[in-house]
Amino acid sequence: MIKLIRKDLILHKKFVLGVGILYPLYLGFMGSRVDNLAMLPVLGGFLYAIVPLILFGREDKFKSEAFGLSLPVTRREYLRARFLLSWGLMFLMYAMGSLLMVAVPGARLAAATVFSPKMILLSLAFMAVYFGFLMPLFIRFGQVGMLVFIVALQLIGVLLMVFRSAVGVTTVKKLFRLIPDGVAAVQSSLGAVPAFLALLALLALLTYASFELSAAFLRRKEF
Amino acid sequence: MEYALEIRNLSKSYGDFRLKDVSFSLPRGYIMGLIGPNGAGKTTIIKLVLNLIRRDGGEIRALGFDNLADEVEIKSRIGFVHDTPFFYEHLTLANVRKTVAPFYRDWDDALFRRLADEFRLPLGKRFKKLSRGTKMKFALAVALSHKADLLILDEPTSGLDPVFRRELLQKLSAFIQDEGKSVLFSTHITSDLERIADFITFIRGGEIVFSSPRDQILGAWAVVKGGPELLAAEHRALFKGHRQGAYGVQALTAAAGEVHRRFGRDAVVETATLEEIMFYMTKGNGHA
Repeated sequence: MIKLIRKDLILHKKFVLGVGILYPLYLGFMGSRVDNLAMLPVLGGFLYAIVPLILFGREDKFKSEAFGLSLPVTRREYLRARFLLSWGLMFLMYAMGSLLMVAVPGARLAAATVFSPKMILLSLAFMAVYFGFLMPLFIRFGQVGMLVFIVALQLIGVLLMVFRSAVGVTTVKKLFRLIPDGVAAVQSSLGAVPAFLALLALLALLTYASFELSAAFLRRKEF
Repeated sequence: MEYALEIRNLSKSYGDFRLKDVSFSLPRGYIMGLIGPNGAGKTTIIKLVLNLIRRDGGEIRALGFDNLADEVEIKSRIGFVHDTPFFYEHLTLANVRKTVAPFYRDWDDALFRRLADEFRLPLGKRFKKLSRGTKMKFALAVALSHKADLLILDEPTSGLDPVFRRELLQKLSAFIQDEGKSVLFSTHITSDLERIADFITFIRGGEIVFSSPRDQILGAWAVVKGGPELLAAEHRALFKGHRQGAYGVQALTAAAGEVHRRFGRDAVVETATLEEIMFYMTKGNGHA
């Protein structure tokens, strides 16, 4: 596992140093200029989740994946290393971006808000959902899979707008309120800490399902 | 007998190509040449051994291990050179070595450096800047440096200059001097195999035509040169394929003695080369 991660880090050293640092710098600075808290988990989560996939997409370009899989490793180990590296990168970028968001002079969001357990968990949740969907699509369809996901998100957005004009803004708002209301209901019935742990377990389950689906796709992939 | 590679009833379909019930064995300590025209299935077999593509049926055992159940063990004991070496193009050779070496428990860095010197590999240069020949040399140095028991080479000599081709063949001959080491060598440059291969496996259209010791093959087949009477109906069964030109007929036969008995001095019988065997068996009958 470590050998595989080390290989990927050597292979993509410049990319990791370039994009992996510049990207959170950019997002951190942009985040410090806005006071919309939703940007951090919703948009930030998505942008951090696609970075590891851009990194692995470079192997498509170099046609070197066949070589990687000719090395003495199983496909499952290969994928496990990729998941681990991806989560490591996402965490690092998220931490850097969030720190900058509050540390840049003139930052509008308070550190207590950005680093509240609720905000961290929400950011993790969005990253897990984005990455969880993106990775199997990427393994199955390559970089086209990422485009499919982005187009699908846009289509959902268009459908929501159509839906909103059909049923009215209030109904849509009520529907969206169901999520935080549901979380609040779970929190009040379980207590804050168990609810927090339950959500973490749900995210772990989602990541596990994403891994298993990706593994099934990779097992069938031919080089 | 111990085998370096045993393939039994291997099958694989994709698109309009089918690998049909392929079986052959490579005994330990020998070199086997895998020959056949382009698209015959040579690379498919090699990719199946390395588990880069999925088989539809059959069994592959390398060095006594099943290639699916013992994938890691097999891959750590096989050295491979692909027809187009897929290393990480933008890395220097030194960095490629740094990424690859830790995967092999028997990696010998001193041997790698010796081979790099011998092959004059520019370790500071990026892989993509190398000529095809140098890329092949690097791939070979990597394959040899982890002390593989079985070397699998897919078209390693195509695009190489004759001097290095000869060096490579010498290297392979030296490699199997260490008993227990074996080589599977896919190529369509059959003259290379006549120099070094102990066994020849000929594949055509996804099917094995023959898989036998080289000397037995070269001893069995002959090219007959003569007039159009060779193609008379009563003699046709003697020939596997023929070419008819303005100056006569050339045909491949496995019955040189019978040809000699029937035609005497009217036909010239010569030992067939592997290239001639492959040519006549692939092209069948036609005009020169």
